[in-house]
Amino acid sequence: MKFTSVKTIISLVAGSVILTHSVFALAHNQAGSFTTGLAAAVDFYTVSCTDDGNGAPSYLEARVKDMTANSSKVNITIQKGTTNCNTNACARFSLDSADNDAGYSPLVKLTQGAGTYNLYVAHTAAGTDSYDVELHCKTATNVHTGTSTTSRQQQ
Amino acid sequence: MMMKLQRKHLHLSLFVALSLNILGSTQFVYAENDSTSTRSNVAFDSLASVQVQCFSGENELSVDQVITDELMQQAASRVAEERVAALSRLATAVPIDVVVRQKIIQTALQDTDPRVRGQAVYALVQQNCADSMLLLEQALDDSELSVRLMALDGLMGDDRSVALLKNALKDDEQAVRELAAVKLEGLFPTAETVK
Repeated sequence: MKFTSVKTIISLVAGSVILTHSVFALAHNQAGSFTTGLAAAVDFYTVSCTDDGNGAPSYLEARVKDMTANSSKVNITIQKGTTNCNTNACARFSLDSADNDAGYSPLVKLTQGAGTYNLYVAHTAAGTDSYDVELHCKTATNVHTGTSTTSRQQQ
Repeated sequence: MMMKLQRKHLHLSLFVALSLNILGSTQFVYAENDSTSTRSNVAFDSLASVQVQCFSGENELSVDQVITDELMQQAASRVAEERVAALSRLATAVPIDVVVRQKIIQTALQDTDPRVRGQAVYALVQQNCADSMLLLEQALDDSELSVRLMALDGLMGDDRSVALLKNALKDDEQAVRELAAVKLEGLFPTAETVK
Protein backbone atom coordinates (compact mmCIF):
# COMPACT_ATOMS: atom_id res chain seq x y z
CA MET A 1 0.00 0.00 0.00
CA LYS A 2 2.76 2.37 1.03
CA PHE A 3 4.79 1.47 -2.09
CA THR A 4 1.76 2.15 -4.33
CA SER A 5 1.20 5.56 -2.71
CA VAL A 6 4.85 6.57 -3.23
CA LYS A 7 4.72 5.31 -6.82
CA THR A 8 1.55 7.32 -7.42
CA ILE A 9 3.09 10.44 -5.94
CA ILE A 10 6.23 10.11 -8.07
CA SER A 11 4.09 9.59 -11.19
CA LEU A 12 2.00 12.63 -10.39
CA VAL A 13 5.02 14.83 -9.77
CA ALA A 14 6.80 13.60 -12.90
CA GLY A 15 3.62 14.07 -14.91
CA SER A 16 3.21 17.62 -13.63
CA VAL A 17 6.80 18.51 -14.50
CA ILE A 18 6.42 17.12 -18.01
CA LEU A 19 3.06 18.84 -18.49
CA THR A 20 4.41 22.15 -17.20
CA HIS A 21 7.43 21.93 -19.46
CA SER A 22 5.18 21.12 -22.41
CA VAL A 23 2.97 24.10 -21.63
CA PHE A 24 5.95 26.43 -21.51
CA ALA A 25 7.45 24.87 -24.60
CA LEU A 26 4.24 25.23 -26.60
CA ALA A 27 2.98 28.61 -25.45
CA HIS A 28 5.07 31.71 -25.97
CA ASN A 29 2.91 34.80 -25.86
CA GLN A 30 3.46 38.52 -25.93
CA ALA A 31 0.55 40.59 -24.69
CA GLY A 32 0.20 44.32 -25.12
CA SER A 33 -2.09 47.22 -25.93
CA PHE A 34 -2.01 50.53 -27.78
CA THR A 35 -2.12 52.86 -24.81
CA THR A 36 -1.88 56.05 -26.88
CA GLY A 37 -4.89 55.00 -28.94
CA LEU A 38 -3.34 56.63 -31.99
CA ALA A 39 -4.12 55.11 -35.37
CA ALA A 40 -0.44 55.24 -36.31
CA ALA A 41 0.71 53.50 -33.13
CA VAL A 42 3.25 50.73 -33.57
CA ASP A 43 4.48 48.39 -30.86
CA PHE A 44 7.88 46.97 -31.71
CA TYR A 45 9.53 43.86 -30.26
CA THR A 46 12.62 41.85 -31.10
CA VAL A 47 12.36 38.09 -30.96
CA SER A 48 15.50 36.09 -30.41
CA CYS A 49 15.60 32.55 -31.83
CA THR A 50 18.31 30.42 -30.24
CA ASP A 51 19.18 26.78 -29.69
CA ASP A 52 17.94 25.92 -26.21
CA GLY A 53 19.06 22.32 -26.55
CA ASN A 54 16.19 21.32 -28.81
CA GLY A 55 18.09 22.19 -31.97
CA ALA A 56 19.14 25.10 -34.14
CA PRO A 57 16.25 27.43 -35.01
CA SER A 58 15.15 27.42 -38.61
CA TYR A 59 12.09 29.68 -38.56
CA LEU A 60 9.82 31.92 -36.54
CA GLU A 61 6.07 31.49 -36.71
CA ALA A 62 3.60 33.97 -35.28
CA ARG A 63 -0.04 35.00 -35.13
CA VAL A 64 -2.01 37.65 -33.25
CA LYS A 65 -5.32 37.82 -31.44
CA ASP A 66 -7.08 41.18 -31.34
CA MET A 67 -8.75 41.24 -27.94
CA THR A 68 -10.82 44.39 -28.37
CA ALA A 69 -13.93 44.44 -30.54
CA ASN A 70 -14.13 47.72 -32.44
CA SER A 71 -13.54 49.06 -35.95
CA SER A 72 -9.78 48.79 -35.51
CA LYS A 73 -8.13 45.45 -36.33
CA VAL A 74 -4.74 44.40 -35.02
CA ASN A 75 -2.06 43.03 -37.30
CA ILE A 76 1.56 41.91 -37.10
CA THR A 77 4.55 42.05 -39.38
CA ILE A 78 7.57 39.86 -38.71
CA GLN A 79 10.82 40.72 -40.44
CA LYS A 80 14.40 39.47 -40.68
CA GLY A 81 17.03 39.74 -43.38
CA THR A 82 17.60 42.03 -46.34
CA THR A 83 18.95 39.73 -49.07
CA ASN A 84 17.23 37.38 -51.55
CA CYS A 85 13.91 38.38 -50.08
CA ASN A 86 12.03 37.54 -53.26
CA THR A 87 13.11 33.91 -53.06
CA ASN A 88 13.06 33.54 -49.27
CA ALA A 89 10.68 36.05 -47.71
CA CYS A 90 12.15 38.59 -45.31
CA ALA A 91 8.78 39.84 -44.07
CA ARG A 92 5.32 38.43 -43.42
CA PHE A 93 2.04 40.07 -42.42
CA SER A 94 -0.99 38.70 -40.58
CA LEU A 95 -4.26 40.42 -39.64
CA ASP A 96 -6.93 39.35 -37.15
CA SER A 97 -10.04 40.47 -38.99
CA ALA A 98 -12.46 38.98 -36.42
CA ASP A 99 -11.74 40.74 -33.16
CA ASN A 100 -14.89 39.62 -31.37
CA ASP A 101 -13.86 35.99 -31.03
CA ALA A 102 -11.20 33.97 -29.29
CA GLY A 103 -9.47 33.07 -32.55
CA TYR A 104 -6.09 34.20 -33.83
CA SER A 105 -5.05 35.60 -37.18
CA PRO A 106 -3.58 33.26 -39.80
CA LEU A 107 -0.25 31.77 -38.74
CA VAL A 108 2.71 33.18 -40.64
CA LYS A 109 6.20 31.81 -40.87
CA LEU A 110 9.55 33.36 -41.67
CA THR A 111 12.47 31.04 -42.37
CA GLN A 112 15.53 33.10 -41.61
CA GLY A 113 17.31 30.83 -39.14
CA ALA A 114 18.74 31.75 -35.79
CA GLY A 115 19.09 35.31 -34.63
CA THR A 116 16.91 38.33 -34.06
CA TYR A 117 13.57 38.84 -35.78
CA ASN A 118 11.66 42.10 -35.70
CA LEU A 119 7.99 41.97 -34.70
CA TYR A 120 5.79 44.99 -35.42
CA VAL A 121 2.26 45.17 -34.03
CA ALA A 122 -0.08 47.77 -35.51
CA HIS A 123 -3.78 48.41 -35.97
CA THR A 124 -5.99 49.70 -38.72
CA ALA A 125 -7.65 52.61 -36.88
CA ALA A 126 -7.57 54.56 -33.63
CA GLY A 127 -8.35 52.59 -30.51
CA THR A 128 -6.76 51.25 -27.35
CA ASP A 129 -6.80 47.70 -28.68
CA SER A 130 -5.34 44.95 -26.55
CA TYR A 131 -3.65 42.05 -28.27
CA ASP A 132 -1.89 38.79 -27.69
CA VAL A 133 0.85 37.62 -30.06
CA GLU A 134 1.68 33.93 -30.03
CA LEU A 135 5.11 33.12 -31.41
CA HIS A 136 7.50 30.19 -31.61
CA CYS A 137 10.99 29.65 -32.93
CA LYS A 138 11.24 26.15 -34.37
CA THR A 139 13.83 23.86 -35.88
CA ALA A 140 13.74 22.52 -39.43
CA THR A 141 11.95 19.47 -38.00
CA ASN A 142 9.31 21.70 -36.37
CA VAL A 143 10.52 21.30 -32.83
CA HIS A 144 10.07 24.29 -30.55
CA THR A 145 13.38 25.86 -29.58
CA GLY A 146 14.70 28.94 -27.75
CA THR A 147 12.31 31.90 -28.08
CA SER A 148 12.64 35.15 -26.17
CA THR A 149 10.98 38.52 -26.75
CA THR A 150 12.10 42.03 -25.82
CA SER A 151 9.91 45.09 -26.04
CA ARG A 152 11.54 47.98 -27.93
CA GLN A 153 8.71 50.44 -28.47
CA GLN A 154 5.27 50.80 -26.89
CA GLN A 155 2.71 53.17 -28.29
CA MET B 1 -17.89 28.60 17.88
CA MET B 2 -17.56 27.98 14.14
CA MET B 3 -20.89 29.71 13.51
CA LYS B 4 -19.70 32.72 15.53
CA LEU B 5 -16.51 32.93 13.48
CA GLN B 6 -18.43 32.57 10.23
CA ARG B 7 -20.81 35.34 11.24
CA LYS B 8 -17.92 37.59 12.22
CA HIS B 9 -16.24 36.89 8.92
CA LEU B 10 -19.45 37.67 7.07
CA HIS B 11 -19.92 40.94 8.94
CA LEU B 12 -16.34 41.93 8.25
CA SER B 13 -16.73 41.10 4.56
CA LEU B 14 -19.93 43.13 4.33
CA PHE B 15 -18.28 46.05 6.10
CA VAL B 16 -15.31 45.99 3.74
CA ALA B 17 -17.57 45.68 0.69
CA LEU B 18 -19.75 48.56 1.84
CA SER B 19 -16.72 50.74 2.60
CA LEU B 20 -15.21 50.05 -0.81
CA ASN B 21 -18.52 50.83 -2.46
CA ILE B 22 -18.82 54.17 -0.64
CA LEU B 23 -15.18 54.93 -1.37
CA GLY B 24 -15.68 54.12 -5.04
CA SER B 25 -18.75 56.38 -5.33
CA THR B 26 -17.04 59.21 -3.49
CA GLN B 27 -13.96 58.97 -5.69
CA PHE B 28 -15.99 59.33 -8.86
CA VAL B 29 -18.20 62.16 -7.59
CA TYR B 30 -15.16 64.33 -6.87
CA ALA B 31 -14.41 66.67 -9.73
CA GLU B 32 -10.86 67.60 -10.57
CA ASN B 33 -10.05 71.21 -9.87
CA ASP B 34 -7.17 71.37 -12.27
CA SER B 35 -7.40 74.35 -14.60
CA THR B 36 -5.48 72.48 -17.29
CA SER B 37 -8.03 69.66 -17.37
CA THR B 38 -11.59 70.15 -18.46
CA ARG B 39 -12.52 66.56 -17.72
CA SER B 40 -13.93 65.40 -14.40
CA ASN B 41 -14.54 61.97 -12.99
CA VAL B 42 -18.26 62.70 -12.79
CA ALA B 43 -18.52 61.08 -16.25
CA PHE B 44 -18.19 57.68 -14.65
CA ASP B 45 -21.40 58.36 -12.69
CA SER B 46 -23.08 59.49 -15.91
CA LEU B 47 -22.57 56.09 -17.52
CA ALA B 48 -23.78 54.38 -14.38
CA SER B 49 -27.03 56.33 -14.46
CA VAL B 50 -27.89 55.27 -18.01
CA GLN B 51 -30.67 52.69 -18.10
CA VAL B 52 -30.17 50.23 -20.91
CA GLN B 53 -33.23 49.00 -22.74
CA CYS B 54 -32.70 46.67 -25.65
CA PHE B 55 -35.15 45.02 -27.99
CA SER B 56 -35.20 41.87 -30.05
CA GLY B 57 -34.10 42.37 -33.64
CA GLU B 58 -35.77 41.05 -36.75
CA ASN B 59 -33.27 38.27 -37.29
CA GLU B 60 -32.94 37.24 -33.67
CA LEU B 61 -31.24 33.85 -33.17
CA SER B 62 -32.87 31.12 -31.10
CA VAL B 63 -31.63 31.17 -27.53
CA ASP B 64 -28.84 28.72 -26.76
CA GLN B 65 -28.77 28.12 -23.02
CA VAL B 66 -25.23 26.71 -23.01
CA ILE B 67 -23.84 29.81 -24.68
CA THR B 68 -25.98 32.00 -22.44
CA ASP B 69 -24.63 30.40 -19.28
CA GLU B 70 -21.07 30.55 -20.61
CA LEU B 71 -21.38 34.23 -21.49
CA MET B 72 -22.96 35.13 -18.16
CA GLN B 73 -20.16 33.37 -16.34
CA GLN B 74 -17.53 35.09 -18.45
CA ALA B 75 -19.18 38.49 -17.95
CA ALA B 76 -19.09 37.97 -14.18
CA SER B 77 -15.45 36.86 -14.12
CA ARG B 78 -13.01 38.47 -11.68
CA VAL B 79 -10.55 38.79 -14.55
CA ALA B 80 -11.13 42.00 -16.50
CA GLU B 81 -9.88 40.46 -19.75
CA GLU B 82 -12.58 37.79 -19.47
CA ARG B 83 -15.26 40.43 -18.94
CA VAL B 84 -13.97 42.33 -21.98
CA ALA B 85 -14.06 39.11 -24.01
CA ALA B 86 -17.69 38.52 -23.00
CA LEU B 87 -18.65 42.03 -24.05
CA SER B 88 -16.80 41.69 -27.34
CA ARG B 89 -18.86 38.60 -28.14
CA LEU B 90 -21.99 40.67 -27.53
CA ALA B 91 -20.86 43.00 -30.29
CA THR B 92 -22.01 40.32 -32.74
CA ALA B 93 -25.14 38.25 -33.06
CA VAL B 94 -25.12 35.73 -30.25
CA PRO B 95 -27.96 33.32 -29.45
CA ILE B 96 -28.82 34.69 -26.03
CA ASP B 97 -31.96 36.33 -24.75
CA VAL B 98 -32.19 40.10 -25.19
CA VAL B 99 -32.96 40.57 -21.48
CA VAL B 100 -29.74 38.77 -20.55
CA ARG B 101 -27.79 40.83 -23.06
CA GLN B 102 -29.24 43.99 -21.61
CA LYS B 103 -28.34 42.97 -18.08
CA ILE B 104 -24.75 42.13 -18.99
CA ILE B 105 -24.26 45.46 -20.77
CA GLN B 106 -25.92 47.44 -17.98
CA THR B 107 -23.60 45.90 -15.40
CA ALA B 108 -20.55 46.37 -17.60
CA LEU B 109 -21.26 50.09 -18.09
CA GLN B 110 -20.64 50.49 -14.38
CA ASP B 111 -17.48 48.41 -14.34
CA THR B 112 -14.47 49.96 -12.66
CA ASP B 113 -12.19 48.77 -15.47
CA PRO B 114 -12.33 51.29 -18.36
CA ARG B 115 -11.61 48.56 -20.90
CA VAL B 116 -14.80 46.79 -19.83
CA ARG B 117 -16.82 50.02 -19.86
CA GLY B 118 -15.47 50.89 -23.28
CA GLN B 119 -16.27 47.48 -24.69
CA ALA B 120 -19.78 47.74 -23.19
CA VAL B 121 -20.29 51.05 -24.99
CA TYR B 122 -19.30 49.45 -28.29
CA ALA B 123 -21.41 46.34 -27.66
CA LEU B 124 -24.47 48.43 -26.81
CA VAL B 125 -24.21 50.40 -30.05
CA GLN B 126 -24.27 47.12 -31.99
CA GLN B 127 -27.54 46.11 -30.29
CA ASN B 128 -31.03 47.35 -30.95
CA CYS B 129 -31.19 49.48 -27.79
CA ALA B 130 -33.03 52.68 -26.96
CA ASP B 131 -31.12 55.88 -26.14
CA SER B 132 -27.81 54.60 -27.48
CA MET B 133 -27.06 58.14 -28.69
CA LEU B 134 -27.52 59.44 -25.14
CA LEU B 135 -25.09 56.83 -23.90
CA LEU B 136 -22.53 57.74 -26.55
CA GLU B 137 -22.84 61.39 -25.65
CA GLN B 138 -22.14 60.64 -22.01
CA ALA B 139 -19.37 58.16 -22.80
CA LEU B 140 -17.64 60.90 -24.80
CA ASP B 141 -17.21 62.74 -21.54
CA ASP B 142 -15.62 59.79 -19.74
CA SER B 143 -12.28 60.42 -18.06
CA GLU B 144 -10.75 57.40 -19.80
CA LEU B 145 -9.35 57.62 -23.33
CA SER B 146 -10.40 54.06 -24.19
CA VAL B 147 -14.06 54.76 -23.39
CA ARG B 148 -14.13 57.99 -25.40
CA LEU B 149 -12.53 56.25 -28.40
CA MET B 150 -15.13 53.48 -28.26
CA ALA B 151 -17.89 56.07 -28.12
CA LEU B 152 -16.46 57.85 -31.17
CA ASP B 153 -16.23 54.54 -32.96
CA GLY B 154 -19.97 54.10 -32.46
CA LEU B 155 -20.98 57.42 -34.01
CA MET B 156 -22.54 57.38 -37.46
CA GLY B 157 -23.49 60.06 -39.98
CA ASP B 158 -26.65 61.54 -38.44
CA ASP B 159 -26.78 65.21 -37.40
CA ARG B 160 -26.32 64.53 -33.73
CA SER B 161 -23.31 62.29 -34.37
CA VAL B 162 -21.75 64.94 -36.57
CA ALA B 163 -22.20 67.53 -33.82
CA LEU B 164 -20.55 65.20 -31.32
CA LEU B 165 -17.70 64.47 -33.72
CA LYS B 166 -17.09 68.20 -34.21
CA ASN B 167 -17.06 68.67 -30.47
CA ALA B 168 -14.55 65.85 -30.13
CA LEU B 169 -12.12 67.84 -32.27
CA LYS B 170 -11.47 69.87 -29.11
CA ASP B 171 -10.61 66.84 -26.94
CA ASP B 172 -7.44 66.86 -24.83
CA GLU B 173 -6.20 63.65 -26.37
CA GLN B 174 -4.63 63.57 -29.83
CA ALA B 175 -6.08 60.11 -30.59
CA VAL B 176 -9.63 61.37 -30.00
CA ARG B 177 -9.09 64.48 -32.13
CA GLU B 178 -7.57 62.41 -34.93
CA LEU B 179 -10.35 59.81 -34.92
CA ALA B 180 -13.02 62.51 -34.94
CA ALA B 181 -11.26 64.23 -37.86
CA VAL B 182 -10.96 60.99 -39.81
CA LYS B 183 -14.64 60.16 -39.29
CA LEU B 184 -15.73 63.65 -40.31
CA GLU B 185 -13.54 63.48 -43.37
CA GLY B 186 -15.20 60.21 -44.27
CA LEU B 187 -18.62 61.84 -43.97
CA PHE B 188 -17.72 65.14 -45.66
CA PRO B 189 -14.69 64.66 -47.88
CA THR B 190 -13.79 68.38 -48.24
CA ALA B 191 -11.32 70.69 -46.48
CA GLU B 192 -14.18 72.50 -44.71
CA THR B 193 -14.92 69.65 -42.29
CA VAL B 194 -12.02 70.17 -39.92
CA LYS B 195 -12.57 73.55 -38.31
